[in-house]
Amino acid sequence: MDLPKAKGNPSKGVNRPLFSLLSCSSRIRKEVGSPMDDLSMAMKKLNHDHGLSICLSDDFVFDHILTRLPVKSLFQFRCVSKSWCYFLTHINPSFIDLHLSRSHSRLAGNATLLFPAHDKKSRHDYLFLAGLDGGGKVTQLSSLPVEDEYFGLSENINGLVCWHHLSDTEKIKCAYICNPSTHELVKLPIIPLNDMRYEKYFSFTFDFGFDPSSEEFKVIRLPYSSHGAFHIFTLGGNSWRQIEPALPSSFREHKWENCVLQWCIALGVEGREDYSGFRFERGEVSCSSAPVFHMTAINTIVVVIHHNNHYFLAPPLLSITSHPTIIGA
Amino acid sequence: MATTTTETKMLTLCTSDKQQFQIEETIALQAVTIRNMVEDECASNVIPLPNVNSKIMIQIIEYLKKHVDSSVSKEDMEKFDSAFVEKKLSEIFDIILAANYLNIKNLLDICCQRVADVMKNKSPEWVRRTFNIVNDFTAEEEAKIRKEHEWAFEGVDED
Repeated sequence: MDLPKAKGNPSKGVNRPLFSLLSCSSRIRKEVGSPMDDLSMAMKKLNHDHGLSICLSDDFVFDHILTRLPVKSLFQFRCVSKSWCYFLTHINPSFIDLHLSRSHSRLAGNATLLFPAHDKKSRHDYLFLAGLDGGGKVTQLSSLPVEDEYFGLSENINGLVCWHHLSDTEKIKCAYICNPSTHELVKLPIIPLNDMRYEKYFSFTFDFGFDPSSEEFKVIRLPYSSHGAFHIFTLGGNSWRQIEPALPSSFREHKWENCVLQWCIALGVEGREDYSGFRFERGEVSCSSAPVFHMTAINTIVVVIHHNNHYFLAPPLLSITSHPTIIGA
Repeated sequence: MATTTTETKMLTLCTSDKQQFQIEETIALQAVTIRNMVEDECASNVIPLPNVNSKIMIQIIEYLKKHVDSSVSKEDMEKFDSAFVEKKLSEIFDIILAANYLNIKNLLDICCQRVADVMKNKSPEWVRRTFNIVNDFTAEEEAKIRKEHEWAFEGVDED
């Protein structure tokens, strides 16, 4: 599934090596030969009659100036002329790369706030954007007719975010990918229920990431505190893929980095206090388990509080019982 | 400066209006085009710059003199840069062309950013006038494009 009228193809090209200004100017020089021609490339025509002594060519303006504008202006300037409209509708990956890197350096240190809200009266969810590009003004990005006041919003991954619901109803199966700059929102397909009797009541959580090796955006759906399968959705595709094998017990913490599930912890069900660590990477799952009382995870270290109040530090994927480090009691 | 013990090498630049500027080589070599000319030894005592006039050259030398000074703090340099681009847009365009020709990357960057900053809340009409672009849309076509992304037209400055 593509983002409709997306800025190029957002699943591709966003994170490619940068098309630098230097390589651009050396390319022009190679094509035209001398610095004299370089100047004539940048100058469309001399126009003394209109008081303008010079005029920059479209290519020069696109590469050097439009790459520095907020996305809002790029939409607006589609109606400048037909050639601008064509360029700004069929944006090439090198423009996107340059625009992204310039936005990062231009906006470094200046926060843009993206936040969801629920209006009980209209029973709509809203997504708002406030920040520099809007001049500090709050802009409404989307509204969705749902009855759910609990949402999750992923962190910003190369300009895209994942917005999803958190409640235990069927709405939980909905997740959206949003490009706040272009106001685009894509609803991900709903995962068909395997077992209507149970799954309907389970809650899930979503996580969003970018896989640098394949240059793809992916969403993972994890069963939260329940049985259930893990699913992965790749932006640009049209269906969820179930991860095999399914993980056996209720899941609590996880780390999903560069679209690799580094580890996750699940607790046993029905009073059994089992620890399980899982690692999923391109289809491979490994796990370990040990009895614990309580646990939490800080980065890649699992902190385990044992029932006799000893604190253990254990790297995930190692059996806690065989490699515990006691750090205090 | 480090050149106090050795003789400071000077270069002479000759602009389109036949004005000559004598500047230190270290200052001039920040312009990649001049550096290439000197390295390729295709420059004699006087370097002709037929695409830059003296009015623009004075400003570019002012910029290069500041940027060759390694004792200036990053903060002061940024202050200088933002004050430097506080000029009329037509002047900025002249400097952009000269910086592009002389291949002074940072100068080109700050001038292009200045144009973008001025331009970002302007109307399409302003853009056409400034960049000398003919509107080849019919009124209906333009209205259709405006309607597709109405949100992008909120908060546009009055001309």
